[in-house]
Amino acid sequence: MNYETVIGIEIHCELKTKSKMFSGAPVAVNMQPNTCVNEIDLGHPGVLPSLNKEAVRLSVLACSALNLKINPVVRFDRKNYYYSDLPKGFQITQQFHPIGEHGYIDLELEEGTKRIRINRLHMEEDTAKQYHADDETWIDFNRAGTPLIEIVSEADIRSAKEAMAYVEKLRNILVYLDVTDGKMEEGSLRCDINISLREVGTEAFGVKTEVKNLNSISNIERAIQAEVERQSALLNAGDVVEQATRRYDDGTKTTILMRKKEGTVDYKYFPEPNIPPIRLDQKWIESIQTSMPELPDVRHARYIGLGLSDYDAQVLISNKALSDFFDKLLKHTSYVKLAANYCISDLLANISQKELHDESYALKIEEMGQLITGLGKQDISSKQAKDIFVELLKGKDYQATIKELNIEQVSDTSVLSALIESVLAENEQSIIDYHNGKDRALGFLMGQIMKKSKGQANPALTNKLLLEELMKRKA
Amino acid sequence: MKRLDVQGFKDLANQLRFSLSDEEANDIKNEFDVLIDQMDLLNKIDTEGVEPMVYPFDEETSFLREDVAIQVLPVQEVLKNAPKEKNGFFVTQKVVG
Repeated sequence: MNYETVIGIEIHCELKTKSKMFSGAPVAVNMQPNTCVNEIDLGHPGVLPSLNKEAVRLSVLACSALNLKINPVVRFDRKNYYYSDLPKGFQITQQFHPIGEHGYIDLELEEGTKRIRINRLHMEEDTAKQYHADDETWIDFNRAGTPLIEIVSEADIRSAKEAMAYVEKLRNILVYLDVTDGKMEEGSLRCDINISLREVGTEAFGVKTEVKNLNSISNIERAIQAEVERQSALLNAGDVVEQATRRYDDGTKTTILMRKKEGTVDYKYFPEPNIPPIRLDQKWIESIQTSMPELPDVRHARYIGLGLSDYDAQVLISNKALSDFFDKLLKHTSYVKLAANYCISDLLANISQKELHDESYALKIEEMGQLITGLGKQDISSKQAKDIFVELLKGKDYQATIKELNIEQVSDTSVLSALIESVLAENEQSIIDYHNGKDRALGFLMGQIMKKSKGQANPALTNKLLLEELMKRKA
Repeated sequence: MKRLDVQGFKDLANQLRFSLSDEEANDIKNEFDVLIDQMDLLNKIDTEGVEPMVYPFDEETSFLREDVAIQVLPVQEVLKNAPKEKNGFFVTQKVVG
């Protein structure tokens, strides 16, 4: 039987704030356990939550970029459940009035543009982190109360490939907005995927399972493939899919049952009485929207406008830290294509993602700009440029390195002419080849001259003189 | 209003991760029956056309807290009420398999 895969995705994303959603305790990053909490995070009696303005600003930004309609009156609700990661016995979330509703993003797929609708975006607080030992559980409340947004797609996604494209695009947008650091492997962006199958051509959804906590884009693909395989085997055998929560096991490349859904859990939602409705100032919302950072799609279009290929533009924008670096580099050179090449290959080969992200590299961008310009003007050869770049990576200056490496540009016409003369004398066949239209012969001759000059011949001038000389020798 | 029988309370206790003896479940059921009778009285009040009220004031507010990390408890204070702690963590019985 032929099945169609139906997928909906929920994404939890930690917001980049200094303090927690409802308390003035710091948001913890790699801190000792239970050192970033206060009475509010611990749910002590008599405390009152107070909503973080920056968390709301970041949520408004995210809503705007995802084309969601913003609800200007912020309301919260309580989701009641009893578990050791939740000190209050309830989570403050937005069940009834999410801050954003009915948005979408467009995916660029091989077969064209596909719109994935977003049902809602709401704010909530994260829970504590638990570590399960053999017979006891250790709890660290540092994460409790960290601002989160949850973004829920409609069931518009039809394959693992679309799911990956959706999460990747969404993550990229949120990272460009500086709403989150988007690190899936560290849990600051977490992904739950609902998967069901239905016979091709039918309308009704099949029974779905939810695969929890996928921590990388590639695991999203593998988990969906595994789950589709499992469900179709069941259906083909005449069995039924059971509604359940599962997790993906990377070792066995299968999904494993966590818990069956025995009726829906009653979370006894009700409006959070400690936070009265808060009306956001329309002018404030507008000012957030007008100061929205450049989104990846816009940046992509800008790069294409600068003359970059679609491929180069894609590579750059998919890595925001690299793309930001490239933009800074463009302030110091006008050789755009060369700058892009150097960023994509040489820079990435020598600077780690972390250094790029933290701007903790020794390389000075303005010096690299001079290098690119020098290369672009052919003041230096590409071989010399690579040698200089190695030094610039250590934090050295361009001009000083040129002196230090004894890189001289031979621009003396008489010296260059003598070099050309001797190379041409040794390679008469190449002269004939050139006049017979073999362009490679020109490259070969240039190479020989550069070699003879130990890389120091001024490439632009040499090229010009060589062409003149060849014209003279045209039979 | 929905009434739970003795088994219903035992199931509920199980969901909340503790167990009830028959006697305890029976006591709780009897207490709840009284409570539910009182709720039923409230249910008899005619609320036709009355909007639900969540907050004591109709006024919307506009206060948002500035994002400054200003208040953190010393870890000794945090762990003060922990029945058991280890290396700065709260330690509880394991409740998942």
